[in-house]
Amino acid sequence: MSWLRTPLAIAAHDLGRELRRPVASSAVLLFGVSSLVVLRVALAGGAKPDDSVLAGALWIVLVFAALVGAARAWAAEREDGAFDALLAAPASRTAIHAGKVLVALATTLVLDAVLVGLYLALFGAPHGAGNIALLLASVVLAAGGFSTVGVLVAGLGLRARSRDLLGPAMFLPLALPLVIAAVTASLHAYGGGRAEPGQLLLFLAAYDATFLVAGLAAFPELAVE
Amino acid sequence: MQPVFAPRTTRARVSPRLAAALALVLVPLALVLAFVWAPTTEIGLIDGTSRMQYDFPQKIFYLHVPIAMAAYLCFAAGAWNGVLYLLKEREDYDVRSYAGVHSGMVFGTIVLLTGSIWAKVAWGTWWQWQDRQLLVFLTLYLFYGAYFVLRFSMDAGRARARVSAVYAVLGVALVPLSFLAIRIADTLIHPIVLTADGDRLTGPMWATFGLGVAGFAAMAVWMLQLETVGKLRASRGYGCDEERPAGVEAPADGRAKTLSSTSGEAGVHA
Repeated sequence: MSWLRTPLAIAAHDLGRELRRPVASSAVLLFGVSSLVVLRVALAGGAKPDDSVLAGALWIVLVFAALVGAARAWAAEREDGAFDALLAAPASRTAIHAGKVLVALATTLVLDAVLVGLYLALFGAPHGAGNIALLLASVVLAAGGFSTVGVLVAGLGLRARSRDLLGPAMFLPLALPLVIAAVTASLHAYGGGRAEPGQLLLFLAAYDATFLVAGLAAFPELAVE
Repeated sequence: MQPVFAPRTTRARVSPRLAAALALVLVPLALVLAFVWAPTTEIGLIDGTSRMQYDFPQKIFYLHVPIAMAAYLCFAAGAWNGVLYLLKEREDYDVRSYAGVHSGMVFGTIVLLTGSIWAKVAWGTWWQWQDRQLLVFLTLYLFYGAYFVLRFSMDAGRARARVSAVYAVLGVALVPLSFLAIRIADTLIHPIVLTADGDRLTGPMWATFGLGVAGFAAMAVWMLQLETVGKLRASRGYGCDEERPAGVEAPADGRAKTLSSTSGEAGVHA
């Protein structure tokens, strides 16, 4: 139980700060909403796009919103010069990483809730409760993947000079398997594709678990003082 | 003459001369056999509905697949040496890991080029986005492409070596996940030659293919050895500040020296 205190404390601290001054999350949210509106206007000249475009449009916005959010994972510590102090604290580094993943997951889920709601309003929802549930389940599981990979990538670029440019270069290839499965699930929800939905969701969960474990194993190696 | 710093770790585990000899014999042999001896066969696409007879384009198989295997071998070597670096923190493992990723990128570039030639001849397009097997290789290629940006955006030293090692190891997770993503997605048109139900290769085709695999694997080992030894020479004092590890000073006079002065220890002369 004592190990869990650190991630929860980090999550409470970071989320509390974000609630008091939601500058970063507001910027990411505005970016996501603006992207959705631009996509709606740009795609098919305002007419209802076909299924594959519908499935793709959602994930374009979610991936890039996650990308912008991931870049903020360690931003406060970098700007305050608090990163080395955090490492010097008597806390497990895996627990510190887990805390950052929790923060990223919470913010990504809130962000995705708003973006998916707007997406369904602008582009239309899939037919049937089962298909809507599949779409939402894939979004929730993908939020886990984006969070674990985002925090891992942010940790990799902590001491790099051009980390803002590096982030997308590392994040997007790592996120591609997730995007393939998530787009396929969305395509299925909108009535296209032949893939098995259960397998797709299982894959997304396995992806989350893989990069959670990879991040927990990697962060102590990256966080050298 | 002051001996050059060249610890036992620069000794090659596989003789580079043997690897070079095998590569120089087996690769041309496989290419000649591919064009004059190995027959062509029908290639079925994974959907089971399309079977097509390719003649000349099929010869690319003997080049494309072994090079892809060599690329994966190099990336695996990069990841394995990354693990060893994280465990032992010896700078030669960092250099070997870098060499693995670098050689993998060289082979990977050739794989993408030969694959595009195949696609143009067989499918009439240079690139087929519906083919997720191509997409996965491209993913891995882009992923390891970012390795260089990451590595060279940090100053040489322990932190850079650790970050590079972790990044190289991450590729190990990306490969199976990517292949799994392909399998459960539903659009595939890549020709499948080796299947769970048995292969469609005849004896001469297998022999030619095997020689190609062995030849390009030997070439990969040779390239890894060459680059590792070259980088270690540079890092241990000869005009390449970028690769010099922390704590190792460049010689004051900057003269080029060779590992031959420590021939008993070095064992490799690239």
